[in-house]
Amino acid sequence: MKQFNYTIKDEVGIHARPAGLLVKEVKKFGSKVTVDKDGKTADGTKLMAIMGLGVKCGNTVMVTVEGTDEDAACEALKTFFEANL
Amino acid sequence: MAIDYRKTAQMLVDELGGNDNIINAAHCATRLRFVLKDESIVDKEKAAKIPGVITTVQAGGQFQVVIGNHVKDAYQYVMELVTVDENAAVTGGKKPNLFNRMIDVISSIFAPFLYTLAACGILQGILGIFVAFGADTTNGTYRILNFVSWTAFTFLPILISITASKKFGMNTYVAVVIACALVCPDYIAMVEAGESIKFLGIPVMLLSYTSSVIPIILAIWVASYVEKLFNKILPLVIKSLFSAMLTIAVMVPLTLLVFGPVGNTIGGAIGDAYNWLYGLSPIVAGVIVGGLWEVLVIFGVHWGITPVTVGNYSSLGYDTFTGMQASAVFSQAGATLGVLLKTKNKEMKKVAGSAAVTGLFGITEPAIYGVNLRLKRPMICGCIAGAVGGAVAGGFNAVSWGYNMPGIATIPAYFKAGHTTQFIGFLISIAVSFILGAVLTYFVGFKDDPDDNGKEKEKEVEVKANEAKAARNYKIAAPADGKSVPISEVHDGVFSSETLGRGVGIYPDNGRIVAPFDGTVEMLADTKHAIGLRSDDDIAVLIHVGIDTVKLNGKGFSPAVADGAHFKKGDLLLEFNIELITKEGFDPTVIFIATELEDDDKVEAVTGNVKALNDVIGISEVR
Repeated sequence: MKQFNYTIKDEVGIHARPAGLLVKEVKKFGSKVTVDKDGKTADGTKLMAIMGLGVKCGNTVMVTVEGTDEDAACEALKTFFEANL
Repeated sequence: MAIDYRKTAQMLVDELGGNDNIINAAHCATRLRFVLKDESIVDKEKAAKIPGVITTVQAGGQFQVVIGNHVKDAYQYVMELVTVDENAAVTGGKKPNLFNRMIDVISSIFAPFLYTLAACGILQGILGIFVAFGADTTNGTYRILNFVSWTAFTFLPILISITASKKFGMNTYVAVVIACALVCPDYIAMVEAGESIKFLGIPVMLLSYTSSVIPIILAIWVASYVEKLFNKILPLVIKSLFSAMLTIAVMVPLTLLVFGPVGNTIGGAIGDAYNWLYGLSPIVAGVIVGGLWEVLVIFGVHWGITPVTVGNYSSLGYDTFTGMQASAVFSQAGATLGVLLKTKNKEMKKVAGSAAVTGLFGITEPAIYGVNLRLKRPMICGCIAGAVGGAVAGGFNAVSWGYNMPGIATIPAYFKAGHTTQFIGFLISIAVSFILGAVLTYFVGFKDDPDDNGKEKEKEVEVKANEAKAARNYKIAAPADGKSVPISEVHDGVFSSETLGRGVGIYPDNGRIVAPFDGTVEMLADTKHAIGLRSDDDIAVLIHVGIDTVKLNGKGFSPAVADGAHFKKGDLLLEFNIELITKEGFDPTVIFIATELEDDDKVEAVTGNVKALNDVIGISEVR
């Protein structure tokens, strides 16, 4: 299992569009990905769940990756967050 | 009442004989589907009584457990308890008997495009009516619409190759090319010229494969193995090109030499056998078909007849089976109407009302599962009425002239100029079935439950009625008035690429968003511009008002519901200020998408001006 924290820099947070891109990125991998914010957990493949976290600029989320390709997935997701959020 | 699905899963797995007896488990919208080594050791009654389980069904080599909307939770817990055989997942289980496997193959192949075939069939019927009223058949408009209405049948092998390739697990494009070759104009020219053609010295039987069914199924079945073989033995660098080339080069001639003639013979023989029975006595055939069709539907084996009816259209130009099958459909709808008129139970009235209407349109699952079968006697009344109606249909030689699923909307398919008596006979047969079904049910009666002491049971009916729809395809109503465009034309790269889901963009006429179905608010954005909904039958949609409007940070939006709230279709969900949004420089297009579709699912969008609560997205699930 791999984890990392990320603090959102995008001024509008994780809204529909980045959430959709995130789901798309997660689906490329076999690993199970969850995003946690303030004790709420969202399945990385579920658009509504991620949007439902209500992540805003300045919030810190914890991303957990677990599975056979977790190393690659974790790296890719880090890059994704840096680039988009 | 909260149900602990972890406990449900544990009890269920124990009841099904534990991990050792469970070969595979999967789930659909409301059911867990188990493939078991030995179904006989399971006590069905006991399994159905486990808390959280609505009922159980044994069909098609599967042991199905109906859970309802929480099936995903239950599935997760089940998967923690069992290890499944991945291969079994692909082939649909450990060798159910041959009959069940054939039914499974046929239903997987035909189900995805049945409505398309029926659409063409109805178009033929409508054209037939125009001709009867003296329309000019040399007219270009008629001739074009006429050949269009035949296209799906002429190129049936191509449609079949698409679904068959998925079922048998081969490259769809290779399969389509094989099918196209069989209906290629050059080949048809050879058939028409009638010259003797030899392939490597072996004479080829020149048969026409337009509208054929069995040859292409056999061809794709074998091709799936041939392709796997080539993929295995060819070196990696040349595989993608040469595997396809060799598969096509081997399979097309092989089909022309072997599967074509064999398939044609089999198809012809099955069709002949049925038509021979019909020839003995159409009335007796009508009694059997009208009386027993819905029983076949219950066991899910009604698919077996599809190749026969489709074959009839290409060999005879019409089909007698559908003419009698219609009686079975209308009689069950009638029986449900009988229940509606008689019952004093409010819930039952509601369910029966909608099931009767759905039944009239040819979808009988809600009527049989939700009402008639549950009360038992209405089902029997329906079968009796169906048998009588079937006899009438047989007596009049009622036939359909184009493929269709019997129902009110498809009646034109039974009409053809010069065959008015048959058509009138058909109308009489369905009227008799419908009225007799209702009258018999009303007077024979059933065990009515006037008060709602069985609340849980009523729920079960609703879930079942919902499930019948979810498993096939469904429509979603618009949440706003306005001008609808396909999502691909929305001015936003991410939405238009369908990354988030598929559906429509609606340029709103006013600032009201209403609920497109009964359901729950799953997500309400803090910025109030987007709202995620889940319907009671588990359809997830996202309504996102405006492009980039997240930047307004809630300005101009006033939600009328809270996160987690339950709502009814038509309830106001959100109001927004179009003027303000436009003045701030944003596009107010309402994005309306279904977010949990599989890639293969087909989505059709209604475009142009739409009214809220009218259907705007149609989804055909391919699962």
